[in-house]
Amino acid sequence: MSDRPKAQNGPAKILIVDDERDIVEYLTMALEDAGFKAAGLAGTEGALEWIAAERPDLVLLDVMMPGHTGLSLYRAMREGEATKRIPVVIISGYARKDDFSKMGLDELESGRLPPPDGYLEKPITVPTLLATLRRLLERDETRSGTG
Amino acid sequence: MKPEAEQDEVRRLLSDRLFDLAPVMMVALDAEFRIVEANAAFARLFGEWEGKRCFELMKGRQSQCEQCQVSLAFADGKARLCDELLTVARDTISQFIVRVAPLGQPGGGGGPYLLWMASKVNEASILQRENDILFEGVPCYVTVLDRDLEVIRANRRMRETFGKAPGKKCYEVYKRRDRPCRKCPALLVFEDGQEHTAEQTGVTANGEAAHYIVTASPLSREGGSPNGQVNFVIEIATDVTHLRTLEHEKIEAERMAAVGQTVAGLAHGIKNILMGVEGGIYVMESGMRKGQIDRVDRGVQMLKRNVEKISSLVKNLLSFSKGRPPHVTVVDPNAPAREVLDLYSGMARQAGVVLEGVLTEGLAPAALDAEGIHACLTNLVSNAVDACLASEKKDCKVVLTTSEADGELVYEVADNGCGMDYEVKKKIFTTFFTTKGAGGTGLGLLTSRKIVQEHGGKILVESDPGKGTRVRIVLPRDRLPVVTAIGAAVNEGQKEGVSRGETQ
Repeated sequence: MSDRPKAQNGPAKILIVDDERDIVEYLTMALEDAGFKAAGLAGTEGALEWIAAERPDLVLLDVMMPGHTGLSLYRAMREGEATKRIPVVIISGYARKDDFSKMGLDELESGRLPPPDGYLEKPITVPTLLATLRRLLERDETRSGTG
Repeated sequence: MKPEAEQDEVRRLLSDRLFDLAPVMMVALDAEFRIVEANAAFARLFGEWEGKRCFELMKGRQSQCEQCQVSLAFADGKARLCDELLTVARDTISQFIVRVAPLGQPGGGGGPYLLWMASKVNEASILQRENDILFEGVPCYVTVLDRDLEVIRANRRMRETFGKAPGKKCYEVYKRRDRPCRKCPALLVFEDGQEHTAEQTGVTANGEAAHYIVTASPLSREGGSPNGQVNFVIEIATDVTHLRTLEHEKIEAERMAAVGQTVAGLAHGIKNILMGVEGGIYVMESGMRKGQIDRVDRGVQMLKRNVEKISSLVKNLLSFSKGRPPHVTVVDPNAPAREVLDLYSGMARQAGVVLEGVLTEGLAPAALDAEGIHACLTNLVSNAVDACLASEKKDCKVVLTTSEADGELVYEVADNGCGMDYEVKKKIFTTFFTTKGAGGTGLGLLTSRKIVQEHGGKILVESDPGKGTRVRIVLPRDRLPVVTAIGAAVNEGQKEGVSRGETQ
């Protein structure tokens, strides 16, 4: 298909990290159906290493996981040389920035952490998800093309 | 002597002697404020006066007083009455009532001299005047009542707020009632002669509610009554309407904040489940489109799981909002702990977490809602296992301990999991707060605390980020609830729902 999303080499690779297995399964399937290369992790264990090794084109990350591990992963990604430029879209029932302080995500609200590349508020429909991803991936392609 | 001559004689004597005989101080002043004549009463108090000016001698000043009544009287020829503080000795200041009157011909306007007259105000009248000022000016409602609860005196603020009071009964004025209030503090004072305080709500002359705290005290008049009976009561009421309004507004604001938080938390939980439903529909539909029956089946399973989640969320919500009456029986305090250990050992093992029980044997039976304590311990152990799973440590352990010391039963759940930082810790007893994403309802600790409070106890949480958490349920035996269940050992047949803990 001509509109198949592509990174520089082949289809864009997306990682989904969420503690809800159903959500991981759903998003993985929906992204694969749309022509992405999708991988899912039902938790943050080993996620940083995976990201550093596999270099996905984008990460969909739930920040509200047990023990605040979603936020820790985001922080670690932004601090790591190999991972800091990988776009991250936060997915959460509390995706709106106003809600972050309520959920102990003050680091994000106060700007102590760089803002994520996108927010998606659950429930996420497939068209919204695909539109967000295409916009971000195109932006990155343009950026790498001109830079 | 002829009558006319007699009258002249009297007049002569008076004009010669009156000046010195009068029991007031008298001074004649000229327009330069110089004392040109003074009587004996004045000389007795102020001594040498010849050639001195009034302000020098009586005020110790070098110049004319700021509000000089003498110059005003000279200017318009009118007499004046005023209060003055005068320096009668080097450092004694006394209060005087002073009258100044120009010494002109009747109808002829002011003359070159002025008569200054003063008499000292005595202590009793100073006190009386101060009392009057206090009574009228104090920012409280003040009334004096007789034994029939009739208002015999009311201050300005009282009259302005509640309308004309003297002659009416206090309950008519304050409350528009036709009979005395229940627990009337004034009646209590008439009974026992002691001071009494009460908080009351009255109705102002404008028909608005007024909240006030009133103190009624015995008032002795004319040396009091010979038989020691209190004949009058003074009621001093402080208006707290503004405070009560603020309090009410604060409670309302807090309630609205709690409602907002509850709704936000609920929305979060529902959105996660909706996402699962959305996913199930997508997977099922795409399976149908592609003719992949296994995909359809996966979608249906996802839908079922999420329907299950929403029904459990609703159940939790209802049990939290309604609560359930505690079912108190006399039980072995270790029993609920043992059950929770059995229930969770398999699940913990699967998760790679060691679950250990350290139960003190021989604890005396206690009046507990065993099911409630079971629910609390389930919540705590489940939280502890989750904290272990969230930690990167390999040797995670959860220890459930029971013990008793100083008449307090203690259940403790300790883990060496991820611990909580300050931000999380301060929110753990907030409705719907969860760090578990879709895995938590944010009701567990809140419900646990409610149950523990119903037992007259408290939950103590200690936590170090990265090191672990220790949660203790402390139940003082002397505050445990009364037994409510049929067949229990003590207080059998007590009405259900009656428990001392409920008031905590």
